[in-house]
Amino acid sequence: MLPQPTNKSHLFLTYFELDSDKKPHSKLINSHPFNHEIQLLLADTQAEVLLRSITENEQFFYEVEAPLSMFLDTSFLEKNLTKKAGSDQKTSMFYMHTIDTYLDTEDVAVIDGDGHLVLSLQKETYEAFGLEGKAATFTGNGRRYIITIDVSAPTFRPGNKTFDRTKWCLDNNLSRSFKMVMTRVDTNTGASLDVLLSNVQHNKKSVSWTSSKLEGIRLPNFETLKLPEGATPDNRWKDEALEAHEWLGMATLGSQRYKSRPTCIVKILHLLMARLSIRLSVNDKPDPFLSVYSCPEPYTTGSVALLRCAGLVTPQYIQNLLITLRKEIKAKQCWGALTVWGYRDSPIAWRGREHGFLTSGENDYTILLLREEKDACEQRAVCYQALGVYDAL
Amino acid sequence: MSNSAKSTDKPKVVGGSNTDSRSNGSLAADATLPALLKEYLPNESEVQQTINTKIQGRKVHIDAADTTNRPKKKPAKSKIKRITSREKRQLGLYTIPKHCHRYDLFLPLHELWKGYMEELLGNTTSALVHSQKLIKADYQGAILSVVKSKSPSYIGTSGIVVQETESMLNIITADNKLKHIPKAASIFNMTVKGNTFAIYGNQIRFRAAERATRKFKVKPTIDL
Repeated sequence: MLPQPTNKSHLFLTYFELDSDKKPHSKLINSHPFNHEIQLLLADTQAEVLLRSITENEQFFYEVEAPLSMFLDTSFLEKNLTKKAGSDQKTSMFYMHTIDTYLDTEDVAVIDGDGHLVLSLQKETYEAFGLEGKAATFTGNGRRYIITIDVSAPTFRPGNKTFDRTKWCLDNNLSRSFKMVMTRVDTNTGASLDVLLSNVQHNKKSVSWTSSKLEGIRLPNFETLKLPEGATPDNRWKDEALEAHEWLGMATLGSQRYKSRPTCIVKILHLLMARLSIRLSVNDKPDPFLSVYSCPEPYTTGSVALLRCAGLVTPQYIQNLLITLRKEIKAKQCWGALTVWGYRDSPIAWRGREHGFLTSGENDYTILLLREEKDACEQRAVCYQALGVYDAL
Repeated sequence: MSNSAKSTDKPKVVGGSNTDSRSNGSLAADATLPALLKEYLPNESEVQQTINTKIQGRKVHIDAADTTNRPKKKPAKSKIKRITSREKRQLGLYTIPKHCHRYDLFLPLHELWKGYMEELLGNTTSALVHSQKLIKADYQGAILSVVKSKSPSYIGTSGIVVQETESMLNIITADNKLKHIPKAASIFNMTVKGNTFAIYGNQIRFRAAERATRKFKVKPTIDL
């Protein structure tokens, strides 16, 4: 056997039942706090109804450029972050992620839903910062440090030792501005809530959906991915699941969006990648020297509808999306997929565990909902979780 | 023999050494000795007494004395007893008592230090010259603050230096606390005459006295 290359990303495959008591899908979605792009894919049907129902509740987030000390403002804490004393259940969750910051070479700050401010600082910044942290696990020899501060504690107020020290450090040693996105969400309903930003310049943005369609393509039905009751996935199933993932990936390339202000090279690259989705088209007969791709069997000729959005999206919203998608699939008698991309440069990802970048900062997942009969009470699904080089689930 | 002219006692001893005074057969000595003494002693009545007490029975070695087996003399202990540095530390001679941990108490020291700086730097304005003089200067009385450190809790500590040892700086902070800060793995800031200097703690890890006479070389900097 050949030695395995060490710097490899991973893909975890899971096969589960959506209605089982363990609620695997809900655990999975909640364990992944920072999501910046979502795509819904519906096979062989129109997406208008779905688009209307998901845009009913407006989802928004804020773009802010400010120093991190804004989070220590007492009224800001009171309104957005502080846990209510005495109640275990939080009514709202606050998410923040700095943008245009690169994890391996720059300082990154995030606030996860549980009210922890997580700073990933480069060695030089950390040595001049003044708060105790620990060396990041995956970046060799203390090049990067992780500092976690619980900013949601009711005792985190002026006069508290931790608060005062944190404030001094942020005011004096990390006073530069960060570009960041933030949002607050109702834990029960998943609706976006306002963030109190009285004295900070901000830009309120709503999550906007775009829809596109790929027509005249070879459309597999993925029926072979369904396993009989009690059976465990084997290697054949694994191969088929990976083929399905490849197909989904190519369909996704067809709906690829530009990031804001792409460079010329990025544009060309995107165009080339978009061309790849041609491999799915019925009329495509490439020279086998160029491509030997074949669509997973059995397939029919059909179309897919793709809905895509970008922005800081909360797990609660994704939960709602999954429910809506499921209803739609049931009504239309088709299969669908939900793909979520996480921020590449988050210091934490799955289940609050440390995340690294190194060669690729992947932390994405796709939930493929298989087609079920109209009267079936179960919903089987395949989940693909993509992990970066050193990440753990 | 040369001694004989000097003192009253010694010459007879030396003179006596020519004969064995214990031997009864040495009549020549018995005859000549009283006459000789009579000649030298001021009082004639003392002659017999001198012979009895000082000459009779006295042993004199003619050959060199045997020194090989004699126990060596220990050097006399100095009357002044000194205590070692360790004992000084154990006795707490260097510790500043708790009631003296007051910032205002050390402000005069800082004023003194400022005067010392005036004197040391003189009229030169070049920061380079200043830095070279500062690296050899005495820091007791200076206001230092930690700007970078491997240990985050030291960062931001600022105050008057009250003691300097080989590897530590003891600082009284404005909130009247004595902080012991290691020189290693820290960078300190010091403001002198409007210029702020960064002092790399790793490079000044010497005793103050040693530092003053040391030749410092330019080193490429420097990781903490």
